[in-house]
Amino acid sequence: MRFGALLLLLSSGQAQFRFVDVVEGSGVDLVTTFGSEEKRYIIEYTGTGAALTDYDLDGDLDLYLVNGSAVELPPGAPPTDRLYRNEGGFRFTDVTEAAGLGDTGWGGGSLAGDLDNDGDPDLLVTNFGSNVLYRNNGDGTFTDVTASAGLEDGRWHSSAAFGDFDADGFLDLYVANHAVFEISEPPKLPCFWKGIQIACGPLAHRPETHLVYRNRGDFSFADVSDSSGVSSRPGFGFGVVMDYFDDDDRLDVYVANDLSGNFLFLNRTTAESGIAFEDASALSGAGFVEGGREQAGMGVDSGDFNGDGRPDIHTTNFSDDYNTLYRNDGSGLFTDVSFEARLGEVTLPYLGWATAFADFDLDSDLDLLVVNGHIYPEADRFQSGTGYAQSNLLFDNVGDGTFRDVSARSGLVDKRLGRGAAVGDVDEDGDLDVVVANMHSLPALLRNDGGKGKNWVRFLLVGRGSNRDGVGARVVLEAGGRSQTRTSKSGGGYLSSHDPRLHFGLAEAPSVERLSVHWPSGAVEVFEALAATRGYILKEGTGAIAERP
Amino acid sequence: MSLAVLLLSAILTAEERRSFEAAIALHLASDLEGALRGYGQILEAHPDHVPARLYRAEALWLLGKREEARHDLSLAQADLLLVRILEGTFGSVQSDPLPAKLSGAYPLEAKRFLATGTPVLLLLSMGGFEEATAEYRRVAWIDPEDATLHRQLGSAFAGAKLFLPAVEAFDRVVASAPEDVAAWRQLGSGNLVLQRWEPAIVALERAIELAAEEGGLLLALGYAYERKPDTETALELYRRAARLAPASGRPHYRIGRALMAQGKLEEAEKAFTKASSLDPKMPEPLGFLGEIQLKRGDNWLALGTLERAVAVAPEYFEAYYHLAQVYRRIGRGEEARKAIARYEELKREKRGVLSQEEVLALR
Repeated sequence: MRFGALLLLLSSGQAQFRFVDVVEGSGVDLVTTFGSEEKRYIIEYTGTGAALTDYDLDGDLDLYLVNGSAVELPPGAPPTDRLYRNEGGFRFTDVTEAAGLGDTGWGGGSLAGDLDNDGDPDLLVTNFGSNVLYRNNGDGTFTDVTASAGLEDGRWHSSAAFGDFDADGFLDLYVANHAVFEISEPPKLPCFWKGIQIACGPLAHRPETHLVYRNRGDFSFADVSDSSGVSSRPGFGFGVVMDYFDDDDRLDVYVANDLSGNFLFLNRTTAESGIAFEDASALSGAGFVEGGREQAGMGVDSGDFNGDGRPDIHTTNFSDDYNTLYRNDGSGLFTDVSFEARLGEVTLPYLGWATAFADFDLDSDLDLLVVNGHIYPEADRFQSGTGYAQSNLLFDNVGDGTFRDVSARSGLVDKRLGRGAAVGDVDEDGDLDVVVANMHSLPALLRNDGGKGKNWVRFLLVGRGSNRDGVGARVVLEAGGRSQTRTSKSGGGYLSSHDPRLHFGLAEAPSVERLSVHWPSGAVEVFEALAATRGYILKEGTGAIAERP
Repeated sequence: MSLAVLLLSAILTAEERRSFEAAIALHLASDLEGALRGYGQILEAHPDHVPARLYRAEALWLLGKREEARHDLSLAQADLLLVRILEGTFGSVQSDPLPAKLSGAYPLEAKRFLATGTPVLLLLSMGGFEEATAEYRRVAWIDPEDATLHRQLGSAFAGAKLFLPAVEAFDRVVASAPEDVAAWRQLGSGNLVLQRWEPAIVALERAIELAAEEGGLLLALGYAYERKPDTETALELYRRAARLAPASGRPHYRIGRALMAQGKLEEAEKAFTKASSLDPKMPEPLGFLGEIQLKRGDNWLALGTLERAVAVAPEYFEAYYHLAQVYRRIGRGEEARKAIARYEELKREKRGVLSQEEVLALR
């Protein structure tokens, strides 16, 4: 009895985290190709991502997995991206051919967004080489419209994100580019890591400038990289996230750059200027750490971890360096609180990629996921202090500004070459699952078996004056005496895009007391007394809310 | 008869062999001009005569004729020379233990080519870093227990910032001379530079065992533990260093860094304050003290601290970065922009003086 009481006491004080990889037998069978096993070029390091999107509008999340390529491909069919239709219960069917997909480019990222506001998600794939834009035909098929959309560009593209920079009701696009690289002209200098010769990283290459496209609304885009100010400064771009970083109502952009300082572009768009950004990277405190040191930024996410209503930023970095949590102090100012939050020392041996703020245990605060995997196979050949394949990390938000490492007891022990990750409720049971894109192997489909007994609620936003996806909407939820703030985003983490629905854990609260939605159009709607443990559809401007089946 | 002359007996006539021996004798007697004339005669008749070309390269180098020496060396391919000599004389170099045989039969050549590591040092001095490393790895097995040779070559590699072969050399030194404190220290330092924390810890702990308490070693070992990461052990070591050198600020600075890594900002602030009071000319404690005050929101306090940091060390770019943050927060935008511009300028200058190798060592 005493022992049982102790267990009960412990369990009530400890958050519940449990993930199980259910990829075997799921029907998801893509073993990614990504360069050689020995890694001879920088292009072979970076891996791929995943997108969770309801392409067929049947109410559940389907899965798009990006595939890479190789300098020397074996004879036969080239590697292709895959689309898997969700059949429920973590069972998937490969519908790539039927959907008219199957890009064979050297893929990196993918993200979904309704670019023409017709109610179905379109798809962008970022490549080393031209990106590919697919228009959703609304009948389960897609059409490649890259050329007519004006998105052909031959550079090395990494992550991308959609957001309506000029609030015209259509999703614009930011594409992070990485480095100037030609397979026929790799660097001739020897490069070293811990004394071992390795394929050269970014410092032996030139950083690339990034791209901003304005959506004209007719499925074509104007390249405004120069006029917006973004192309004035190059960077080895990897992860991209959009959020409201300086307290105004214009969607800003943050980019994790490898060894070139991260970018914080504050949106200064006006009717006169068109899409315009101010480079606030250095003065914001979010571009560098420790006296202006560049980190090797990989992935990034934003989220209000401390409940003050402002989006904070988390970036992942190289091994022997820490992952960084920038606390948003307001007015576009940030403070590195990584070590105070207990996220610094524990992450030093890892090379992180995707990261995501999400309430995995439904206790009404944002936890933190980090996907890891080194880039050098040589890491296993001597006492490097790290390893090539690495396990992922999960941090429980303690609620006092600190996090607790719960990786091992969450079941995240498998060591892989993780890169991208998409978070969403794949099995529609109310908690958030994770798809991790691993290099040279199957993805991990991490079914969330934790959070039992906790309440939740989620919202699918439908913009009417705003963009159809409601990307950029800020939602403030009050329940159980706590306030939670989320921004609706498209694209994030690393090379990936998450469940487009906004998800909240409610702990024991039986209902949402108040929900206010700040639409990108400027409209604000307030809803009250929403029952927990169900999904809702919020249609802008109708004042109505519908339960989602 | 020298080893090289013996090996080349099938190539050179008897007269040429005598000329070559005479040239080598002049070389060893430091009559380099005389030696050059002799080598020139050999090379005129036999342009592919690798030993003569290598000897001439060394003589040219010692005479300051570096371009000519470099030309000869590139033709001689010194890294292949030794293997050619050894294989030509004794068969497989990988299976036959040669040192005793070499030094007994050909003491002069064994010393020149092997015991002194001449080809390695020559290549290093001429900037042939990859070739020197390859040559060292090729010859290192010949006498792994010759601590003098490996210590000399290890120091040369470390001097050239080639820390991997340096570590390999000092690994051999400590294997044959396990009481050599300096070698353990060098091994630890080399591994620290290579960011190989575990081997650095092993080497530095051994050095401390042999040398008893010494501040520099304790700080180096603490740093290895800090990066491992094990900041508790690092703190213990830094505190031992502080007790050994109560008037030194550096141990307190490292204590502050380790406490920051533990998220203990108040304690770290005390340590940086102590470090700065003991060593007012060290800018780093002031930089981090300012950063902590900035984190805490004490902008005016941070401003004073960081201004002291740049007064102490006007080239300390890190302080300008934090100063810019402070100015931005107290609404002095123009000064913030100037501070960031200064930070960027100083950082660029510092990057400019880093060698390409040092930059690439960061990947």
